Amino acid sequence: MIQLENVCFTLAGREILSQLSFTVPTGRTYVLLGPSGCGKSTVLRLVMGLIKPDSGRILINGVPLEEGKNNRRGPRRGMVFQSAALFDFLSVYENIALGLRKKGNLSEAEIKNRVQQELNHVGLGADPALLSKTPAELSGGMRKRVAIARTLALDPEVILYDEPTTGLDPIMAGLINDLILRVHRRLKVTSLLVTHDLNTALQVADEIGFLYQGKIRESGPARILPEQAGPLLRQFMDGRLDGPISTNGGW
Amino acid sequence: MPQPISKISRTILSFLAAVGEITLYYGASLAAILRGELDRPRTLWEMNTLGVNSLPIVVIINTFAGMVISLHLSSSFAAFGITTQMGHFLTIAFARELAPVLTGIVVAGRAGSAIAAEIGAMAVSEQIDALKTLGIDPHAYLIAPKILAVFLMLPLLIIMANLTGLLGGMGLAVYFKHLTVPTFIDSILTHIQPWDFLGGLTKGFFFGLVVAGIGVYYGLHTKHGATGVGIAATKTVVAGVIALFIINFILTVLFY
Repeated sequence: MIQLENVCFTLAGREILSQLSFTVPTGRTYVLLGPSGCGKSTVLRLVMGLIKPDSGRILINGVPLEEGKNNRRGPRRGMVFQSAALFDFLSVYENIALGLRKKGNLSEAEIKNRVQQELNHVGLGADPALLSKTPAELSGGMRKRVAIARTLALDPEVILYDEPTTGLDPIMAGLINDLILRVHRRLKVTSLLVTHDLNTALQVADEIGFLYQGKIRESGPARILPEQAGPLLRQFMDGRLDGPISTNGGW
Repeated sequence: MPQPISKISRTILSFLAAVGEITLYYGASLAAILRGELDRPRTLWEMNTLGVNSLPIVVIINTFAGMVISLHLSSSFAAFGITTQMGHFLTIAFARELAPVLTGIVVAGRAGSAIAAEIGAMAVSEQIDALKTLGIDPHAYLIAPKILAVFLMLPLLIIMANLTGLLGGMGLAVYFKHLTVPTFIDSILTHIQPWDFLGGLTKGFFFGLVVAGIGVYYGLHTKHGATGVGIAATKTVVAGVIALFIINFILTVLFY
């Protein structure tokens, strides 16, 4: 379970998140929807512990983030970055194996098996030549899938996805969405996904929250929220310029 | 506060903050080494990339520098009838100053900018954050190998710089100014003290730390995509060369 309680975050004098609170129940997928620059990725970086909130608390499975950091048996979190963030200087195999190797309790044969297993899960296991390729030799969709495999290899309880379908064609985006769903069904992980892609949100979410001006303005189950959308979400879904969402930034 | 004073104050504060941050990198890297968390394969790879691959340019620059200095010295020394002292003077110049400084400049330009560019590119493409999410300490995996590699390789490059610089100088003196090899070597062995060489090598350790630290600092502070990476590399070279000359002056005063 992921809980954010009154989280505030300011960057360069601008309030990005203001008393933000929401909960993602264990085993559920929560999608944070919102316009570009509204602080969605900041939420993920806070939950991952890459940055600290100015105030408020973040709890993973009931444990405050700061306490969990000092506890090796704390909840296992993984993050799939918007840019995939594969290491340029390592092969696909080494990218996935790196985190496993650092755990230190697996033999090289076990690591090799695990890498192959995760590549199979993301649909890239059929091509043995892929293992020795560098990220620069992969397409955008393949990079995203390798990034997901790298995250899954560490057996996370919580997975954070940052704009997983941005920059992909609709077919590849659909494939990534399908992969996220399959991962969720297979591993029963708690997932927090941020996107501005409505299709992705509707396809993978159990619950959707609409982030605007530092707070969740609208939220509800994915299957009914679009019909019950308020003016903010309605404008966002319709892609209209006129409405309560300012089109000159500042959210 | 008047604007110029306020500007100077801000510059001094940001300089001190940078020095403090670079010191923290050294501390975190040393801690990673002491905990046995240093990534050894990466360190060896960095020693090859940042050190061994700098060897050709170090050899070329120092050989020609030795020849040029020898050319100047031989003309002046002939006028005073002391050409037998060329080996002595050339060695003092190379062992104490030229080899460490020229090699330091080469490493600041080549390795320092490479460090800043690589770390900078990783920072803007979220790869450093990705390391953290995999439970990998960027200091142990990324930063310490680079700092340690330059720290260890720069003195070794200085040894090669001394060797090639003196050989270049001796070659010119022998073939063009008709000095004999035994005379040249005798003037070195008679007057040169071990510390003349060791002091220069010790400078190399300091230069290595400074060049790598500055590269890491600008790399980690890279923003704004590809443009930012270029700016970080440029700033590293400029700051590295300036820092190197200032530290060289301080060490020369302390050592000799």
